[in-house]
Amino acid sequence: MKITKELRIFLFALTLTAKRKTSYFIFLILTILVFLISAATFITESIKKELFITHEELPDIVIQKVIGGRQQYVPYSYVDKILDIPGLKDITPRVWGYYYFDYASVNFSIVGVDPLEPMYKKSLEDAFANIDIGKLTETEDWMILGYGIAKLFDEIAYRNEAYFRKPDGEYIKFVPYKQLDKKSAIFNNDIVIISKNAARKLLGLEENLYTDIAVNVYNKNEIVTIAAKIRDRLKDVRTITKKDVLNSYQNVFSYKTGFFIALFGILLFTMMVIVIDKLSGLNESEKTEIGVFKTVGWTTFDILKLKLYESFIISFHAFIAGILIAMFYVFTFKAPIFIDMFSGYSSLKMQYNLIFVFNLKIMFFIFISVVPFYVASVLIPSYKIATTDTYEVFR
Amino acid sequence: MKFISPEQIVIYFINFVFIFFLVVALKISYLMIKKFDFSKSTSFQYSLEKRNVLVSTIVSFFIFLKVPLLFYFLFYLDSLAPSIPGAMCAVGVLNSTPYGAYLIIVKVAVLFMLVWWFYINKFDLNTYGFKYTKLKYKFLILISFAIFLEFLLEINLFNNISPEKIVSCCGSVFGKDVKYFSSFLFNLNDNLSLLITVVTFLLLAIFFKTKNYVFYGLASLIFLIVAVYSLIDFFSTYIYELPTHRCPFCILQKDYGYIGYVIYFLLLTGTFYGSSLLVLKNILDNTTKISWARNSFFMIFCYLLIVGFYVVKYYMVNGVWLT
Amino acid sequence: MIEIKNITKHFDDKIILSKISFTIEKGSFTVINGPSGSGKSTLLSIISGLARPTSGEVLYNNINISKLPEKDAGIFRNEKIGFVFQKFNLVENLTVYENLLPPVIIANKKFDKHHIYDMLRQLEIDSLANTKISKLSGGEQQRVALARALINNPEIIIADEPTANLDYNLKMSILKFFEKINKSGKTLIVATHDDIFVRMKGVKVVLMENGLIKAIK
Repeated sequence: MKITKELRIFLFALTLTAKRKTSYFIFLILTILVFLISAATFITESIKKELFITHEELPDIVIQKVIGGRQQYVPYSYVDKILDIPGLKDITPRVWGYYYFDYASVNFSIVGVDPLEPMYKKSLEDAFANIDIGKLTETEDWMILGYGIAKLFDEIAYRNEAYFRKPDGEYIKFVPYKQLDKKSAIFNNDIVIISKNAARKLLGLEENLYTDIAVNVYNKNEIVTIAAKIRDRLKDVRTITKKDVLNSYQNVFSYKTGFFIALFGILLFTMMVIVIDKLSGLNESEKTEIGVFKTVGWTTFDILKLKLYESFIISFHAFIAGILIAMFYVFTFKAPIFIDMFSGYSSLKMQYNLIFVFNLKIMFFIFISVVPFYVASVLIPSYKIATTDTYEVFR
Repeated sequence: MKFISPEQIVIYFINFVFIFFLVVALKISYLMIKKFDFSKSTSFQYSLEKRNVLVSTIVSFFIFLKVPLLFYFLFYLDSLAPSIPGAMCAVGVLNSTPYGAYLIIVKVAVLFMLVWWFYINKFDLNTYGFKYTKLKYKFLILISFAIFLEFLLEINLFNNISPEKIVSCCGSVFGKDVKYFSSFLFNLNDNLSLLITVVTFLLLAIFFKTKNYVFYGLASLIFLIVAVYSLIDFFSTYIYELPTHRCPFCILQKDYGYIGYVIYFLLLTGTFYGSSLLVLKNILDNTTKISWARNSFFMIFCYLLIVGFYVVKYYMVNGVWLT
Repeated sequence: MIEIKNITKHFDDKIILSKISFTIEKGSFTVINGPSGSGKSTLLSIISGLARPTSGEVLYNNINISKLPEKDAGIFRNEKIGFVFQKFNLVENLTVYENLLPPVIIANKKFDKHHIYDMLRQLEIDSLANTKISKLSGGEQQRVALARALINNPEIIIADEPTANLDYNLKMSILKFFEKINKSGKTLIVATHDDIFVRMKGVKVVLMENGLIKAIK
């Protein structure tokens, strides 16, 4: 009995809301607010997820040779020097670098790989899946293209061959052997995998020199100790552990948090001011409306409920609309403009995708960061309306 | 290092909103206690009666917010766990500072008091002349201070969470080690806590049958405490199926089918209704008392059925008891 | 039967009603007559339990209306009283049907929309059920207002200046309508400064001035 009465009040609130002009205005304000907060949340969560996935891919320790603050190539002899440190699982000297493709003004990651050697990353292993390795050893002009690059080459008609410029000005020719699919784009979007020797030529590396050395260890708790041992043996190197990389990302994030505070505070403040302003303007007809409701038997609390239901209906629709728009904006349109505010991350990495993330935690976060404030701002206006004097109806 | 995350900012902002409304409510409470006089027909008296509506709206708003916020808080602490060495769930995070345990207790106490206030208010508004007005505003002042205390503890908790310090988590917190949590959880041995829980339940059953509602209320408050003990000490190990895993929060996780939410809902609402019979004994009318006692007893009974089910299930499957 | 006993109403230091006493029999037609500002509206809101008197009491079948908590006073109004106002006081944005909802949805009985349509049919406005109030003529609006007052089949109809700002035809139609429902057994209480009601037959007239009863005829 009682429940159906509540339901009837709720349905009546639905009718009233749909016919009130202020509802649409508040709906718009609220939708924008939900949109901004959820877009920011989606971007952060997406980047976080990407970080988490790529983080799994990183080697435990990367050894770089640094002289005078500049990174130098590492000679092969360094591998021999650390070989007998206990606890090392594998040591891989790597050949890789960036290639600036001025035609499209983008940087490629050039990764030199010997198909006969074990791969140091799982994503590279995946790239070589289903490939006849024997064929690759016969020539040196093959290349495997990341998803993004394959698309770019397709656009500029580099379909059967591509030319890359060596440091000495000469060009070398490569023949696309395979294109990586979209699924691997998180790791390999901007990558060009070529043979180790070809990479040496392209990056201007002499025989026996490497970009850096990747090291994996058996016991993950020992990473810091082993890194210290390596620095002890090779005096002119810098070691970068998995955790260091994550920390540098984290720093960018906590800096971004400041931005979030500012955005959040300003948004909430504006919303509350607008909502309170809109709801407080109680016109004559609304006053008589409340009076009539009271004369036909509504109590102050019934009217209060009606008003709060009205607010709930508006906020619920705005919540859904805001989240949906934000989802399209971030995941379909890749968040133009907004993403630049998070560009701290893109300075660390050249290109990135926004991976689709959507879970209860995000919903809960957006809910908690919008709804309480909205309800708080409708509270006092609703109370004022509900306690309006009924004398207005009698004259 | 201080942790600052968007979640925390949102919690702080919400606390600001709470404080704003609390100040409004405190001001009204003061006026009500000093000036409320139903026999007067002045415009001031009418405005006071209207403000009654405002305060009850504020309290309803608090209750409406506090419940999801409590879960959000635990959810957030859970998500911090990976950043704190040693912590596996919210317990580890709470335990990493001296404030965590008290904070949880204050949070639950505040929620209970708010709902009590809500009912006192409801009965007050249904009387002619608002009989309990002064009483309820004195009570509201007490609640306000409890909420301020909660915020202080919360700020301290957040400021003291450190990603560098190694903490112990549920496995050891409720085991033999004596640390913040267990320092006031005097060490009960498994079977003793179970025994006390069963005895308290039998007392509840007797008071329920004899309609002795004051004692029933007292017993249900005791039951809340001993039930949490036995849940940590005894029942949770059967839910996790691990003799060493004693934790009141991990049952909230997906791995255990979110059974924790059901368990806590039954336990908290059951003991809430029960204890109301004591706390609100002069305010509730007889029919409400009877129906609340019935609700309370039913929920507590269901609670015991559910946690007991896990014990029996474990025995059926494995043929042994956990020790 | 409604007994009004010694009603006095102060607001701050202003005296609005002073020692008002009279009785309204079941099925009677009472006209409270007096110039504006004589306290008629305040008296109506005290009789209907919307405002409480400073002293004195209103008894409806020996129930003290003035001492009901808000919730019970609401139920009393909802079940026993129908209101007709000056200017009808309808919600302009809503349709005719929707304007009849407020008294019905709050009632402690099963909701039945046929009941609303029956009411509209009785007043011959069922074809307008889904029309907005703002698109109706004065006469049509008047009928919607009457339908809203009668929807819960109340025992008492309270009307506050029902004829103000109406042309002669509408005045007469409302007068006839009131006579008709009074004959069907409903108690009518009309507050007005219009003499048209005073001239009616079989009507009890309470003449008020400055918060005092001047005469009862």
